[in-house]
Amino acid sequence: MSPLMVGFIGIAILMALLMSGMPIGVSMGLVGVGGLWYLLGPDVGLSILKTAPFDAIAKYGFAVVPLFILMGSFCFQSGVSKNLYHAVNAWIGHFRGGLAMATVGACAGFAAVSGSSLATAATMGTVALPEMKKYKYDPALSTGCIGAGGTLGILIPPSVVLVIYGILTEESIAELFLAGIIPGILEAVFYIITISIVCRINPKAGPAGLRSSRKDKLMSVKETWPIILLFTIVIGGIYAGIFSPSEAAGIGAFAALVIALVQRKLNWKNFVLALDDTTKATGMIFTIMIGAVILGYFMTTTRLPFDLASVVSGWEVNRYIVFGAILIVYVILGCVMIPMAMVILTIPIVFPLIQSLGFDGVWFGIITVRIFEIAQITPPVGMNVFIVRGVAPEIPLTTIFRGIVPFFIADVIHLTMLIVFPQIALWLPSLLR
Amino acid sequence: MSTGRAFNKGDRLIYLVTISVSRIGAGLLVGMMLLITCDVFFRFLFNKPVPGTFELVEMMMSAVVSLSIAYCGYRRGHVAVELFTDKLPLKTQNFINAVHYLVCVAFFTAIAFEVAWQAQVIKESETVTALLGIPIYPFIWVLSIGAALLALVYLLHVIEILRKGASQ
Repeated sequence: MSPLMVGFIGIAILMALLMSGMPIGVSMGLVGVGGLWYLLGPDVGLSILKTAPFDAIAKYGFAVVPLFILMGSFCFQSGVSKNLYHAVNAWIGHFRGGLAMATVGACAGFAAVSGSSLATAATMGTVALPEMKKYKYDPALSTGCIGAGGTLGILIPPSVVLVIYGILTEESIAELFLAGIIPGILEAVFYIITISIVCRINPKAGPAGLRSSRKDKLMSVKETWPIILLFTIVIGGIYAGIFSPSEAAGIGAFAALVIALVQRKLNWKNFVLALDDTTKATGMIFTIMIGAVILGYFMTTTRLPFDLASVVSGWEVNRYIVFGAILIVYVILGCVMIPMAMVILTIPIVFPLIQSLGFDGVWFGIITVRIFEIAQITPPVGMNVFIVRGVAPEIPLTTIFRGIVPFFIADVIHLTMLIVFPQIALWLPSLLR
Repeated sequence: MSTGRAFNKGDRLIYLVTISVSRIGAGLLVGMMLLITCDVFFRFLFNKPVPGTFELVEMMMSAVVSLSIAYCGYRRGHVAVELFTDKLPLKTQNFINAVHYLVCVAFFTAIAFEVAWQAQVIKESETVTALLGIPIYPFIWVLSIGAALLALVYLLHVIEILRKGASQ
C-alpha cells in the first residue's frame, strides 16, 4: 500500500474514532502512532511517544494560550461584564429591542478582553437574561441574541483560536488580530440590525426598556474603564511595538489581575476559581495539541497534505469550487466539534492546499473562525446554545434554536460578504505590512 | 459496601492529588505571567530584559500543561464528540465509554513510560537550556508523572462505570 493510501485510511479511522466518542486528542494520537507503526515499524511508532509530547508543549509561543485564558478568567471573576452590560443598556435600552442590542454590544466589549466564545456566552447569559425576562422579552429573542453574541468572543481580538491558527500556519498573530477587528464589529452591527428587524416584525418580542437619565448614562460609561484600559494595553502595546503578542498575554493577565485587585473585585476564592478554570482549559487544549503533533508526524510521513495540495491545485477548476468544498466539510465537522479542536485537527491538512490555491492565509484564518462560530449556534451540537441552556434551564432547546434562526441568516450574509470582499478583513493588516 | 468505600477513598485521594498538582501548575502560570511582565517592563524602561526569559517560559509552560492534564481529566474536561453515542441505550453507552477510557489508560500509560525513558536519555546526555544551563530532564519527568496521573484518572472512570453496572 502506498503511504498516501495509508494516510487516507488513517483519516477514515480517525473520523470513525472521533464519531464513536473517543476523546479528540487520544483519537489523533492513536492514529498517529498506529500509522507510523504500520509504515515504519513498531520501534518508530512507539518512539514518537518519547519526544512528541514534550516537544508539543515546551514552546514559548504557546504560553500565550493559557495566559489569555487567565486574563479572561480574571475579568470573568471580577464581574466587569456586568458593568459593561449596564453601560450599553443605559444608552440604548430604551429602544425597541434595546436590551437585546445592549447584550450584543456588551458581548462585543467582553470579547475584547476574553478569547473564548463560551465564556462570553456564559457571562452574558447570567447578566442579561434576567433583565430581559423582567421586561417580558420573547425567550427566543433573548436566548438567541446571547448565543449568537457569544460567538463574537473568538473573532474580536484577543482570540485564543486565532493564536493557535497563527502558530500552526506561521501567519503573523498581530495581523490576524487586526484582521478580526472590522469583521467582528460588523458582525455585532449585523446582529443589532437583526434584532431591530425582529422587533419591527413582532413588537412584542422586545419591548422598550426605561430611559436612563443623562447622569446615569455618563456614570455607567465610567464603570467600563477596566475593559477599555485592558484592550488598549494589550492591543495598543502589540501595535506600538512595545511587546509581542506572546508577551501581550502575560501583560494582559497581569493588568487584569491588578485592575480586579484595585477595584476590590477579586478575593482569594475567586482568584483560585479563575486559576482552576484556566488550568482545566489548558489541559484540554494541550492534550489535543499533543495528539495533533503525533498525528502530524504520521501525516508528514505519508506526504498527504502536500500531495493533496499539489493534486487539487493541478485540477483545472475554479479555486472557489475547491474553497466551497472545504467550507462544506468545515460546516459538517464544525457542527460536532469545538472550534479549537477543529483548527488543530484540520489546519495542518487544509492549509497547504489553501496556500497552493493562492488564498491569503490571514483572510482564511478569519473565514475559518467565522465558520466554526456559526457551527457553535447551529443544531445538533451548538455549544453556545448548550451554555445558554445551562444558564436558563427552563427555556426549551427548540425555543433557543428558533431564536437563533434570524442571527444565523445574518451570519450567512456576513460570511458571504467576507468571502466576496476579503478587504474587510485585510484592510487593517495591510496598513501594517 | 466495603468496595464502595474503598472506591470513594481512592477517588478522594486521586482528586486531592490531581487538584494539588494542578494548583502547583497554576502557581507556575502566575509565575510565568510575572516573569513576562518583568521582562517587558525592564526591557522597556531600562533596555535590560530579564535574561533567559524565553527558555524559562518554555520549561514553565511544559510544566503547566503536564500538571493540568490530570485535573482536566478529573473534571471531565477532555472533549469528545458525544453526538452519535448519546442516543444509544445507556448500557451500550456505558460499554463504549468503558472501552474508550481503557484505551485512554493504555495511551497515557504508554506516554508516561516512553517519556520517562526519554527523560533518562536526556539526563545521561546532560542536556541543558542554552543560556541559563537549566537541566531539561526534570521537566520531562514532570510530563511523565502528569501522563501517569491522567491514566489513573481514566482508570477511575472505568471502575466507576463497572461499579454502576454491577449495582444496577
